[in-house]
Amino acid sequence: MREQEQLLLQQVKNSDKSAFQQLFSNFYDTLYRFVIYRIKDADLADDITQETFLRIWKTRKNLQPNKSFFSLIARISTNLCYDHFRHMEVRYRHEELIPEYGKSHFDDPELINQANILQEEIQSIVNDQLPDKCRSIFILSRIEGKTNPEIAELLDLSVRTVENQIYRALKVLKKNLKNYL
Amino acid sequence: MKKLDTIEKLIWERSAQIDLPPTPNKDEAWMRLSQQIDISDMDIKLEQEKNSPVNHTIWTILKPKLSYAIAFGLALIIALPIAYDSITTNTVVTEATDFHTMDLPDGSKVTLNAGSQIKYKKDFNSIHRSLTLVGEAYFDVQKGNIPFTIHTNRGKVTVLGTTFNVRARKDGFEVGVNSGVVTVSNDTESVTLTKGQMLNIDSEFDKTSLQKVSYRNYPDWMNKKLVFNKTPLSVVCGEIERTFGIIFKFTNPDLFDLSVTGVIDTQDLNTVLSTISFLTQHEFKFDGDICTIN
Repeated sequence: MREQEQLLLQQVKNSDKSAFQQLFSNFYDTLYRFVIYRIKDADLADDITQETFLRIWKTRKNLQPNKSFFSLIARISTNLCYDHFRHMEVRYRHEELIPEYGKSHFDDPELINQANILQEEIQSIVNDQLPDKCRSIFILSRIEGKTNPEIAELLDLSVRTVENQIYRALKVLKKNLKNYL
Repeated sequence: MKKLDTIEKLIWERSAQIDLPPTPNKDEAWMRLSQQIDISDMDIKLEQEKNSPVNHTIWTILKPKLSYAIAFGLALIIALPIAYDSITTNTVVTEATDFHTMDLPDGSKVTLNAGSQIKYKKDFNSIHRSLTLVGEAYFDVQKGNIPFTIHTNRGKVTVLGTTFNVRARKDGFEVGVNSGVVTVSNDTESVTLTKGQMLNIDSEFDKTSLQKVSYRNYPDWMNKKLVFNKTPLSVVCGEIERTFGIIFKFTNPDLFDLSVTGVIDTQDLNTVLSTISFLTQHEFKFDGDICTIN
């Protein structure tokens, strides 16, 4: 997988637009979900995802094919999210933006409420308290359902590092969710 | 993997049980990105050509790119997406002096002004009504349940059924509504316009202002008129260049910012030029299709 990615990156670096389309095709869905996990606004997530890929193309000469592509787009999109929040002057994002989704699997309104609150809390802790790499790994694991070896390959890390980061995330979550459990 | 205690297990499970909105259609997203890339590459090319002695008209370079270099040697590159792209996308381009009205699959009408381009996927009206616009076009949108969306590089316009004009050119972004309700949004702001309202964003100063569509027969170009209200001469000349397919040369760059206010009938080029000459108090000299301003 990494070799294919490296090859594509080298071609994009040489301004090969069809390679870029392939890259886009491989990473679009994952990046979109990654962004919307933080941003929660579908239109905005779409714009940030598009802008991220556009920036990659604009700075394609600086691409380093041997480095993890997902790490790069995760970093760019996270910065774009920060730019947006700074612009909006929103301090507590998870309070301001009402999620558009949140259908529950339960019928009991009390349970629905609790499940949603817990879910939102998890989300805001992941977004606000985890360092970038830890956050990326956790999301790739829980949201994208990737195995630890898959994540390790995607981010160019060791499997041991991935595992440690996931435990770290769980520790932070457990500590911050004391009131909800 | 280490063993998780009860709480950690609960968090582990719950953290995956989130309902995220569906991801947008990937082909459509690529179509829009592809357009942005073309625009970006074009801007860079123009920056480089700025100092060249020969002035090309922008719009002859902006042609639909249907042929990509396909490398067959390496099996890892899949040719299908590229071919798919050109088979599944309709592109309509107007050159300078062109003026073209067409029907979209849902019955909506689009009139493209000179030097403009729209792109839309062939499955338009089945699950989406969305297209990309570079330039300027007037839309008469059929009422429908599926929102009609126009993507430009400055913002997005969404309607259900209305008549309105969108101008998305390098020198500015403008949306004016003749009837119905139109929502214009970019990544930070969203504005809703109704009949008689116009949104105009100055490309240089990034100011947003809601104006009244103050003259009859908006937009001007659809009614064979050009209307200017304290418009810089460079923008005025841009419109005239596109309408008549001529090229302007300025001997004095200070003239770019000269302000023009007035209504000009565009039936005849010479009348247009004399009017501008009178309004700006400068002489125009015409030679072939190049017009020099002193």
